Amino acid sequence: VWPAEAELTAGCNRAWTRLRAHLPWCGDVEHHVPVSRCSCGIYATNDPDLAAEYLYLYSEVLQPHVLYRAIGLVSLWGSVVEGETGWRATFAYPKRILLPRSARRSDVEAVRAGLSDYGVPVELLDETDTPVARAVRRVARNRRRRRSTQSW
Amino acid sequence: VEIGKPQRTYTVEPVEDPVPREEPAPDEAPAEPEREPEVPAR
Repeated sequence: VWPAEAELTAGCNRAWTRLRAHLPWCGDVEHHVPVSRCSCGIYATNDPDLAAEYLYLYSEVLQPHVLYRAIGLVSLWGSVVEGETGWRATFAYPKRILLPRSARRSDVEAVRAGLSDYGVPVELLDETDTPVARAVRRVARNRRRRRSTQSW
Repeated sequence: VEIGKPQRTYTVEPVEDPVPREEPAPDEAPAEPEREPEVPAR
């Protein structure tokens, strides 16, 4: 869970790093996070469509722990590994949170009120016309098309 | 998220703190140390 009013700090949770930490002959295996040779760090993408796909991650299966999904812009700092389509960083904090619509208006309003603890703008996607909002609409449209094609 | 192959690594130091931290309440703010009375030099 991303803490409110404090930065999220990355650690390396890679299985190989954790395993080596228990092997005495490996010495000190902890490393600065992130490094290019590992996959650790807090991830963000510069591709809004790719981020929008995550709103539907594993949506075909029941996910009782998922209360709601949000998308947004994030500040990254500390050490940053830049990839072809995004970044991995040591520290992160939300900059702007965007909420997709819900079947019930009261749900999204309750989530919006809860997310206000972060002290950053929390907006409804339908009420914004940003590249992220356009990407979410595009991805939703493509998913509907795919589903209707599959049902034929 | 898939971000592709690493291209470069650098350090980012934010100009402003990205975290909107809560300001300490006035009575929680550290009190200024008492100043010694100024004595005129002889």
